[in-house]
Amino acid sequence: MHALVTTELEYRRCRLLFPLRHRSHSTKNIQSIQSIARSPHPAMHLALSEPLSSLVRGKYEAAKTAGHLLFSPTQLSIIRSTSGVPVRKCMHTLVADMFTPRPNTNWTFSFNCVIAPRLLRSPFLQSLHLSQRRKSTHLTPHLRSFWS
Amino acid sequence: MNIPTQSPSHVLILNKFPVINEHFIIATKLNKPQTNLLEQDDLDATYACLKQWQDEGAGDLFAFFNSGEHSGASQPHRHLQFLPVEQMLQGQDSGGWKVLINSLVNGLPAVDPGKPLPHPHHAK
Repeated sequence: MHALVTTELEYRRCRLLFPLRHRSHSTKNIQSIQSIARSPHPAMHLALSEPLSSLVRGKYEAAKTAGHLLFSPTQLSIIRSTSGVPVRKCMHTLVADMFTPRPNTNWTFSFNCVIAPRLLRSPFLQSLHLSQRRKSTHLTPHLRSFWS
Repeated sequence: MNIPTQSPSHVLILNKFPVINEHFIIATKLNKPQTNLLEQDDLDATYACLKQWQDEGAGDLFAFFNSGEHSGASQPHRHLQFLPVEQMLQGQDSGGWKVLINSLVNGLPAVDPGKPLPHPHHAK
């Protein structure tokens, strides 16, 4: 599984998911999670001596010229759909749940919100018993932390 | 290079095995497992990189994290990866797409309408 961090909204989503490792479904904890999700931008500043983009570009060109980089052959597939993305509904549901204040809601995160329900048909995911919401010995620590 | 420069939590380095030009990563200074969930300082450092890149007017920067034994991560030491979007768009047949999360957040179709899905059995 992977997490994408590309926008402020996604950043807040990830910050929201983080405390769930240690979650209980108490109202206090829910309020704490919502507080984190609504917090302003983080205070971390890189404080670099030069712009990050030019720093990366300069180091990259130097490393490439010196032959220190090893490119691997890759293949590109661009997925196109006439009806949106398979996970679109799930993502919208997740985002809506995150930013809709519902203090009485039991914040149980279904994994369906993270992956497309269609994928549950795959043999691998079925082996995880995700649809039964049970802890499985097949779960990685990453998944188990969601499930426990 | 340590980031942030004061009380650093991560190191920022080039990816020695890039798939895209200017492919770089941040890795935790402490040896934390790749398989765990991201922690707050991971997200703070990632967001700081994304924001600085954007504030510099350098275009869009894409960050991703491969976690879990089936994700394809080759290093057990926790790291997040960064790719400049404009670099991903370079090369033959590499154009004509948008970053998925941007389309989802904006509520727009993630792909150009009217074009077929190449592997529809994966989406049904």
